[in-house]
Amino acid sequence: MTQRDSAARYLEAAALLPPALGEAARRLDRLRQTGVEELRLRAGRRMTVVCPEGEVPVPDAPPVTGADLALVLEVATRASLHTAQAQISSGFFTVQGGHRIGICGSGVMQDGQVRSLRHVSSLAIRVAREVPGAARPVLDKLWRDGSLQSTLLISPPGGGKTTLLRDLIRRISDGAGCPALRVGVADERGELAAMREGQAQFAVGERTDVMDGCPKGMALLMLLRGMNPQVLAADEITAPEDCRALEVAANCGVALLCSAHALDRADLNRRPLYQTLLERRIFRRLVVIRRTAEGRTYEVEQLC
Amino acid sequence: MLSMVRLAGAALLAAGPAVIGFCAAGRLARRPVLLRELAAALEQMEREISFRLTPLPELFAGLSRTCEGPVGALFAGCAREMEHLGRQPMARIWRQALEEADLDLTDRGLRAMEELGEVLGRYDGEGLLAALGQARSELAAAEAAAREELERKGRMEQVLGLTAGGLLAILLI
Repeated sequence: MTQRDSAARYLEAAALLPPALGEAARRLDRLRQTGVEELRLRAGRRMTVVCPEGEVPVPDAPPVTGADLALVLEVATRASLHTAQAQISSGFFTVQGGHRIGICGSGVMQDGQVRSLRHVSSLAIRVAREVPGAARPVLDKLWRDGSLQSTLLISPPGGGKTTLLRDLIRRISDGAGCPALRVGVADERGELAAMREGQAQFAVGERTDVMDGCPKGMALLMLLRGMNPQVLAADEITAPEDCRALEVAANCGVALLCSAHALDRADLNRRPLYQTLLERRIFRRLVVIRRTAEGRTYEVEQLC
Repeated sequence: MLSMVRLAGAALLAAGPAVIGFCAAGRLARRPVLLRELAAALEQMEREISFRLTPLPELFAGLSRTCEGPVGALFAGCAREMEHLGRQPMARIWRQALEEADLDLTDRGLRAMEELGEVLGRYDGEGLLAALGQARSELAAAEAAAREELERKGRMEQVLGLTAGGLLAILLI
């Protein structure tokens, strides 16, 4: 991704801000704009940006008010909170362009579930960026005897799983450096492909079919039944239903590309959710993403 | 010749108040129709939100095409100003479109529509549907009151206009 594209992505995310905050965000040094990963807004505090070197305040930005946070939500949902309700209840939602907004406030409970949030206190706008070439160091290690091996990508939050997964999908779908395969993507939060009016806003390949806006578990099974995929991809496996759908898909001879929150293999082994998947050898390769001062490193482990 | 001129003058004198009377009666007759059309549009919004989770910009654009007259103008105004969402909140966009559309709303109906504007874009589906339902029932009550007023005053406005015109003609000619 060029610096210009990277800055454009930042400005696209900054366009969600109310006028005074947006102005301050746009005044940020252009070089810094290209590296911003998140814009963070907290009621009563100054707006900050998360960069590779840490979280820093935006110069000359006025303190964030409750009305500012409400307006960001209004713009981000296009004044249609009812369309993002299910996502907001889970603490985040994805907006046009694939940017993800984390939301924090006082929970409103109903039937044991978080129905909505009132008195929003903080928002974290994560800037979505494509990094073509991110998958280059790992792609050829995911194949065995000409077959793509089911792979799980792991890192802590913000480690770059979605970026790597998106580039893997694109390369496999386009046959860039490997045989081209049909990829079905279960994009529950719209971060992988950022679909808009039926078209992906991110490059996810020529042979990719995307099912977005519905739970991953359901989407994986629908793709499996309807689209005859050779590869199924899903970001952030977090629910038992997702794991069950992955088992079904793996038993149908489809290769899987998924991501999960974990520090390393030992951390992954400690999590009950992934026990069955690991025991049944659903995944054969593990990619551990680490952030270092020089950038991200990828370590590919053979699981079986 | 002189009698012809006097006759024309009398007709003109009689016509003025009569037209005013008929216009007032027409306005009274138009009000319940507009209130009913507005309530029907809100019902359409409820259906779209319940079954299709349609975002408001698309909903406004759709209603501006399907509704006619001032009701269509209200939604067209909202759809147009949604481009500037962020520079101004949804509540202000709604209020402005409400002021610009010639809906001839009075007390109860106007209050219901203004209150609805405070909810749009800020509440989840359940809250939004409840607000739309509340606004619709207020508009239905306003329509009933407008019909009653029409029955009570409509005929009277016309008769008064005609009588006043006639009297004026008799007195001055």
